[in-house]
Amino acid sequence: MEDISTEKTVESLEAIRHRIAQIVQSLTHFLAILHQSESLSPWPTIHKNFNILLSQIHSLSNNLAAHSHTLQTTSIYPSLEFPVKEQEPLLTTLLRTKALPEVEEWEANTLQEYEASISSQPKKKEANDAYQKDQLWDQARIIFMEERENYSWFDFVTRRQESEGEFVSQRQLEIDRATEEQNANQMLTDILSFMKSGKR
Amino acid sequence: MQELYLLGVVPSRRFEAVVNSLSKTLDGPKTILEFWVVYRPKDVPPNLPRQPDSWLRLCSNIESHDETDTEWSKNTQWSMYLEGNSEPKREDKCGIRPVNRAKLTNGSVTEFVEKMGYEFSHEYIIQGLEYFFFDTTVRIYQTLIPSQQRSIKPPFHPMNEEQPWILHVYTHVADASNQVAMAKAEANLTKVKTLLSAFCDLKNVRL
Repeated sequence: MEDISTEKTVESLEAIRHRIAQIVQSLTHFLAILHQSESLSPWPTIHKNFNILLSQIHSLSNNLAAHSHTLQTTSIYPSLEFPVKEQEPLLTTLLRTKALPEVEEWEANTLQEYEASISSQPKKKEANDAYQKDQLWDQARIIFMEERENYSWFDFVTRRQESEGEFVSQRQLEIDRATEEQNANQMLTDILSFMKSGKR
Repeated sequence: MQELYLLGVVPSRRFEAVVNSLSKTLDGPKTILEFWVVYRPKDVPPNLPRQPDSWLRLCSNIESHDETDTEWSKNTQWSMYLEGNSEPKREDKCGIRPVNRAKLTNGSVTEFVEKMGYEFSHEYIIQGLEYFFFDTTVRIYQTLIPSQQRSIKPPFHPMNEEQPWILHVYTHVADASNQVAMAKAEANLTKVKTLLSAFCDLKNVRL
């Protein structure tokens, strides 16, 4: 029974580690795409990569939920063969059962604030909560609309760039990029020729 | 030794963005500042080849600008390169060309190459960054011209007003007859090409 339990625990941790590695890889790739140029990447590309990220995060969440009991009941302790002296800092971290002082302080402050809010305004709590939620939703809606206005989902550039006259349209942008690439390739040929034979 | 390589070009406008992406994707960067001097055979008879693949290329790193040009030339570690022509008919694959490198350990390099029957042809400076992906090297650099001959003092002048950056991805295989090693090296280049395809199109350009 102990061996079976250990194997399940290892499988749980390995599954979580694998999913996290996938997310890291996807994030790296997504950042590379976003930094490809000063202009915003095409919407289909962003949408596709964002969906991949969402799917992977969803998978990780499901995996964490499925193995929650195993994770909660797992205790970490070193085996007899473990190099205790060499890995003392790691052991100190893994075997810690007491919360960090910062966390304890944060917890105490939160409890104090909560108790103070209960004692001062016990009857108006529900009304205030509802009002705050409405305010929060209104602010979120405003922020979302403002952010949406900053982008043109039918083009390669933001609306601000378009309004500033940097680009006329997607077609013009494609033409400009093709011309730029053609010029760069010609320069590449010239530079390589100079490096090889000195001809300019 | 064979060099398997791919080349790409990055417009100046996108240099910062590409470097950011490379730094997040590959190991590095390491700064590159190299001085290259090319010598060609002199008094070549008409019936012998005059192609640049037989020219000698001397290379050294510029690590500081405190020394005088003469002192630097004497004290620096020079390497000598021979770079052959690329193999033809490999449009859809990586480029392959023979390269040889030797370190010059003693004596004046100028006297050495002149006694071998070579004369000065041209010189340039390579400035950029170098990244690594396992045994594959990724370089992004610009080719600059010294302000004076054999001078390591800035400023260095670009060849064009809006000169692009060259993205050079390469790996070396010591034994070209080792098909397994060649195939593995080509596969690694393909991986890097796929990895960098989001921000640069790497191609086989004849050298």
